[in-house]
Amino acid sequence: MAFRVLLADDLYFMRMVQKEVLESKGFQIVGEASTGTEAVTMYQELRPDIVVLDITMPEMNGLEAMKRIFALDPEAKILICSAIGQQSLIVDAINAGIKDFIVKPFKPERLLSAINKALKE
Amino acid sequence: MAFTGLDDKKLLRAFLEEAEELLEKLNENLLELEKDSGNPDSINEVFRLTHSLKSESALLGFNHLSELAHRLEDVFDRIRGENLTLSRPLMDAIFSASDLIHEIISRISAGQIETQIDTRAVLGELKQLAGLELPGPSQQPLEAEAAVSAAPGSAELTLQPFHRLQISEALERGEKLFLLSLKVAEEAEIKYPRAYLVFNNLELITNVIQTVPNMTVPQDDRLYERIVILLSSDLPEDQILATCAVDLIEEPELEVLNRSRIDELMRQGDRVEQTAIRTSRPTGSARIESASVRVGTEKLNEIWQLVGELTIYKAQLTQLHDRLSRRRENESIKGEVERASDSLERITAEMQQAIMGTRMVPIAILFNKFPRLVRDLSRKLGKNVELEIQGKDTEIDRTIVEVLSDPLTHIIRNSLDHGLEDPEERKKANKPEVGRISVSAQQQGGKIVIEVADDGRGLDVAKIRKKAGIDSDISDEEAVQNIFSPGFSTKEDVTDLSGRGVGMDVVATRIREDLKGEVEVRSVTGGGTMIRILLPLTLTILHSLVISCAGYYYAIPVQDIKETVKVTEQNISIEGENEYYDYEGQKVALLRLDSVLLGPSAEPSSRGQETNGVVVAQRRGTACLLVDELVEEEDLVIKPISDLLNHRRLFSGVTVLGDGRIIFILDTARIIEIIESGGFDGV
Repeated sequence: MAFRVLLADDLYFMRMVQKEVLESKGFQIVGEASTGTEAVTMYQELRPDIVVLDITMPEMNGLEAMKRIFALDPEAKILICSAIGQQSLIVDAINAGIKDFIVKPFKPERLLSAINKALKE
Repeated sequence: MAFTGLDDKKLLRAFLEEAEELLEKLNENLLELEKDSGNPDSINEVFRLTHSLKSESALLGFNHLSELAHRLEDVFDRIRGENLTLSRPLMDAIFSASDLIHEIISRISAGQIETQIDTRAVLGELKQLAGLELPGPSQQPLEAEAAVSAAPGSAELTLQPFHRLQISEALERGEKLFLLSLKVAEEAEIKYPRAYLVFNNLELITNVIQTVPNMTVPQDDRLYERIVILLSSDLPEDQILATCAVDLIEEPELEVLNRSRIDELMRQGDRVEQTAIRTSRPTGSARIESASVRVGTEKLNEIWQLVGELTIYKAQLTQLHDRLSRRRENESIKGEVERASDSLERITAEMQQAIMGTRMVPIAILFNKFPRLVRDLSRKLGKNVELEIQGKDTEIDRTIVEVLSDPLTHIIRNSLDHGLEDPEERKKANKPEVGRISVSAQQQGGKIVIEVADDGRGLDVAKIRKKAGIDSDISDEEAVQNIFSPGFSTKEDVTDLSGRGVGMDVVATRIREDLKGEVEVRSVTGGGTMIRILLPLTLTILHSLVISCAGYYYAIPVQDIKETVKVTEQNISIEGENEYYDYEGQKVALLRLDSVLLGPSAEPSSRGQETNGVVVAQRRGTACLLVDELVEEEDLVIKPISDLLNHRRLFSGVTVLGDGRIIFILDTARIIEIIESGGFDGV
């Protein structure tokens, strides 16, 4: 069965890039959130296998959304999407329990490799 | 590869905006290099910028642009590796390449195709001048180096006494020692968080003893290309290696250390200790280490010292100005001296702040890893635990954080493992099923106070008494402090001790000897355990009140002072041997400083007259110190004081004033402690 993925990024084209890459390898995109608030709500409703979460989002940022998702489900598998210069935020997210992170701009194989390794665990 | 059919315009706009910024910085740094071709910061920055440009343009399919950026990246990789020097012709070629990148980007933004520009000539020139024809010349030396240093692996590890104790403890517990080495792929733009990901995974299931480079406090990112981790565990190897199964982690190798390798490591620690600081390093790692924060900190200390001296001269100048202004002549010179003195004061104050800032980091960088540690460990142990963290923003000296990480992690692990009961036991004891651990930090006076408390079963006082052979006339409160005595927990049947005895002596040694701090434990049987760590703010400039007493000068940190008062016979009361001062209706201990510092035989100064008193407050109480004169407030650079000069540890440091006077800084916490315990006879 295909793995179910929730994408959260405020930029439409970023989600499109991710969606194209993931769907081409048989992943199922079950939801697309454009704010942190949406990501949390959708996580609760959809219970995806993994979330790809951007750090910088309006309303509620990715780190806050991450905390709320972990509160809902301590076993949640989350990948964080960050930019160079957000090292300390990434370290905070690692401490909170994310499985891996991807640095933007990323190549498709990075997203695939990180997501596959995180799901294999 | 390009993502055709997507919302290319948006992506393109974002790319162009960022590229413009990158180019601006690239230009700045190249201009800097034209002035100073060896500037390592600029070389690294150009490397980073071209690297980013390469990746981003490749993502969008701008292959010409990407190739140009790639070549420049190669050139700068060789330069920073000291395999290439930045000659005049090479600099010219680099500028041509940068101009070309500019040109291509402006064409792309004008909607033209990048291939309209011919990049071959510039690429050829770069290749020739930088000797890039060889396949991947920039990478070969790096890898060769890594291989060389990978072989002895442990040679890079330097073991402190704390680590060696941890090793012995692990072996006693029946765990095996492992040396894990791994590489963070060159492709990883930011390496530290990636290495940290593995480190964090490891910390959750094994006992990490030492890492190179340091993982707790981020150093220069390039240092994290290769990581060596010494750890102990009773888990099978494949489970330990599974922690490395994250993206962009390469060549993880796990070596089980046999007895002879362990002995070798332990001996090596001895050697390092004996020879103190190594002056030369193996050639392989020297290049990378020269950019590390460790060296940087030494330099910082040097600057710190210089600022300290500057402060002293500032004080001297202020004094000169005061003396000068009492005279009538030379009005114009007085004005100039005053202005110069004011400027110097402002500049030194700003410099102090700035340099202090570089040394201080919020303790959050340490505390932030605890929620995860507690979450995972409690799940592993089948315990329900709530963690509360306070005072994350408390700033603390960077070097202290590095040393503090191990002991503090150890304390929290102990709390979880031995302190907190499992849910069943808690239920039986009528306690909430969810246990609590709280970690807090705050600055109190000249100290940082860190507390780790749990609401677990508390220490087993009877066992501790028996084990340490303590007489019954010693109070429980004092008896439990024995868990910090050297060797206490390395004796047999350690794990038998319920409560938090395990390894606390190692923790205490580290805090007391390496950090010049204090550690104490409070325990309530069935109610919980609290460990309090007091750390000094060493290397700091302290705003102090200078006072005189029996002809000598002393300083009292202003942060310890509640008020300065005039003391007369009317507000002194005597009870037995002790004197008290009536401070706002409250009786506080009165201490005649001269008799404490010079001995009871000293002439009681100015009895019967009005004298100056300094009311100081600490956690343990308040006291009024009688002094001769309040001299002035000064920023003092505190230097550590040798124990030989510090009988009864009444001083926290020493300083030299502008005019060369030596001043001892009073440790008011210690003085109050002695008063409270009745330690000053007949005062």
